[in-house]
Amino acid sequence: MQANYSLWNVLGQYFENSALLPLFVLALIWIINKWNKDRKVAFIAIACGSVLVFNEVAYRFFSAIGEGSTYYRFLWIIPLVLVVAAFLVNYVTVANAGKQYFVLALTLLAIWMFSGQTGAEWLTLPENIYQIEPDVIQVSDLLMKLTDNQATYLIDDRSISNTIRQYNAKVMCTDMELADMDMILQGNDTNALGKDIQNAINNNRSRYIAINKEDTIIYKVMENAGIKLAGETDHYRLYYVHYKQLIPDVEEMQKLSIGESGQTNIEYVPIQGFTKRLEYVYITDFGTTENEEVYKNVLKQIEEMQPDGIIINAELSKNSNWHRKYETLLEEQGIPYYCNDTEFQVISEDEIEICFIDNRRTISKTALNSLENLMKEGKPILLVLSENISESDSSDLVKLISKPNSTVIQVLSAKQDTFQKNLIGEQILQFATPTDSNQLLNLIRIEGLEPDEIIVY
Amino acid sequence: MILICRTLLLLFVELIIEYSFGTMLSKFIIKKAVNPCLNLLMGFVAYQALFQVMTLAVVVTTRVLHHLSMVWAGCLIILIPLSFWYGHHVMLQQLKETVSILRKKKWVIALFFLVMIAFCYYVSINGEQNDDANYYIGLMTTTVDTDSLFQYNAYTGQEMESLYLRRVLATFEIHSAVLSQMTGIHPLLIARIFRACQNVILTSVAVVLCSKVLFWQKDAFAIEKSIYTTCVFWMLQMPFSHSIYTAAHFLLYRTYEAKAFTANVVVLLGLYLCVTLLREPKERYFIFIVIYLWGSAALSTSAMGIALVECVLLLMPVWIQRWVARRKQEKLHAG
Repeated sequence: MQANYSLWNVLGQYFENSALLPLFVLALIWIINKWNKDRKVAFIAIACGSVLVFNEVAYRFFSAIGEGSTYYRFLWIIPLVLVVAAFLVNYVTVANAGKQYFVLALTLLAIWMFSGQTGAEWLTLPENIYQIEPDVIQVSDLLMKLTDNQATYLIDDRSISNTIRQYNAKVMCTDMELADMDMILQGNDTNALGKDIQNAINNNRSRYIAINKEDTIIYKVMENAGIKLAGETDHYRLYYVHYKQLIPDVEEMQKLSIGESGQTNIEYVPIQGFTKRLEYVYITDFGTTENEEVYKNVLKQIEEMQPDGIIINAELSKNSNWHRKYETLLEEQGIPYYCNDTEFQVISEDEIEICFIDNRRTISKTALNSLENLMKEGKPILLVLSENISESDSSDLVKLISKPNSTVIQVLSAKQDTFQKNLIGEQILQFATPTDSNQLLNLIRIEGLEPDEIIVY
Repeated sequence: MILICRTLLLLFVELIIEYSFGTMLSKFIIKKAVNPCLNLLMGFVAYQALFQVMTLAVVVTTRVLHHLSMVWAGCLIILIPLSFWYGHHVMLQQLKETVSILRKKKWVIALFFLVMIAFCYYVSINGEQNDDANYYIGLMTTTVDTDSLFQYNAYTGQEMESLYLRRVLATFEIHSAVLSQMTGIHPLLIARIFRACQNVILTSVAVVLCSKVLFWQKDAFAIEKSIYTTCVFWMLQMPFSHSIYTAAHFLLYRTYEAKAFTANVVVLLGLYLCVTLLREPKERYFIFIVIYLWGSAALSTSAMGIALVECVLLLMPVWIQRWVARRKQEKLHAG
């Protein structure tokens, strides 16, 4: 109820056009008729006194002190149901003793039949004695196993954290006001950038993230933000946040900013058993500015990151500003840079292949065969495309990389206007960054997953 | 199953304790036996009032739950034998009368128990999940798991910066937490089964008491009609429950909350006490009114306000009656 409701609105909501209100009035008339004079006088005195509580001024007073939404509880003083019940019993017991039970049983049955309550509400037992979702119990028990019964923070799309504290108060949840992680998880924001998720985790002090197994892409997006799988229940995956690692990264990236886009973005590409850490700055856009300061700023950020290389989208290679300003400078710095403006190119690192394909035109069979041969070697492949592939794409390239024996671990590409993350096939995440004025540096960090035990509930 | 049996056993024990406490109080205050239903209801509110005092003492000092549990256990160790010793004559007498009624009106009593058990079952399995459940049950679980009083936010688990006085006075959920800690029963079971069934039983007792005094006082079949009224009262909760604003919704789906106790047990008890004062000049019942108001404050802030307003409204005729009687006396003396 809102403070601008009148008392009549309150009464209307209380009785909600119910037929039982006239029944109450009839019952009152019956009672008053039954009572002696003294009781009638007392009743009138009480009714008059009630006007002191049930009036517009009193309602506005209670609203002003912040109790407007609970004002209707004063209506509980009127013993409505008791009076109606006594009225009905009066007619039940008019019959002789033998028929009383019969008439009473009929009355009770009639009330039940018209009550709107179903048989299922009487007969369906809850799934467990605690009367909360089994998923909540499983996630809670698993968390306690993982943390050795220590208190910890959990974040999810509110399907678990809403009720988990009723079962186990050692699971701490996020403040309702910190909505950033809610928007990502509850809003199923599959395009969320690594930096947004990392900031949200940092803001919400989260350690564990619970994701429903039916959310096929959001868990991949989370893995891209640097979290790893710690356990599984029947319907949920429980991810653990490398909090001690993430915090320095978040703080470091918050210091690095470029143009109007603010913090640099980190996207993790986790590979099981990978022993090194490789970092590549992925750039799809510098904008069309002629401002030298912007370019100097970009170069300064790259110098601070000290990446293993720079991956540049094919479109930028046409940008004469880039060639003029950066090529020489980067060569002097000794930072290698790669551009996918040839149809097929491979950079071999110790444990990974970075494969560049220019897919702005139809890809030749030669290029596809080369990719297939590369996959046969068995090393994980980071595939860099000039243009993004849509989810409905059924080209030969998509069919090739979606095969069961595919070793492509992630796809980087470019898209006009916006960031996008989507799945190719059912397992490979594609990360597309904008090709127009964005100026956000994306750091692609390739590192191994520690072979921790994954605990299954 | 064992957990449920333990919870129901706790309920039985708790009702006995409240009844014995109420009997001791009524014998001490009224100096004669009163209706056993009133003993149980007064015992319930007085018990909550006493618990509130203990809780506030611990909140002001250590704010540790197990300290409160120890203090409360000590209190019960003194209270229970004292209650039984002081009130055993009354309790035995009332037990004999109850057994006699059971024998004479066994089918009516059986119907009463059947309806009560059916609704104990219904409210236990149909509890709502909402924000208030997250708060009240979360508060119980937080209190038990952190072994602290009002130190952590029930919703998030984060440390609270300050004590919220309004919430501290309502110690009903803390009592549930103490019971949980003392018995090892999970707070969810205490809320959804113990408190829910307790509310059903106390409400049924309150309805029997009120209906007898309001409608069937001089009726030859007062007990039967009171019980029939209770049965119809329960069935009527279902059609009435379709609006959040009626007490019926709270009674059926949020039965464990203090608000549900307020709307049914507290309001009906207040009604009985005020009507009794209205009918006969039993001045000692004013002491019951004070205990009733104090116990209501321990339940919830809603109960505090509603109980106070109810007493003011229903006692107005009493005060008017006495004022008129005094004026008449003054005129007589003047004349």
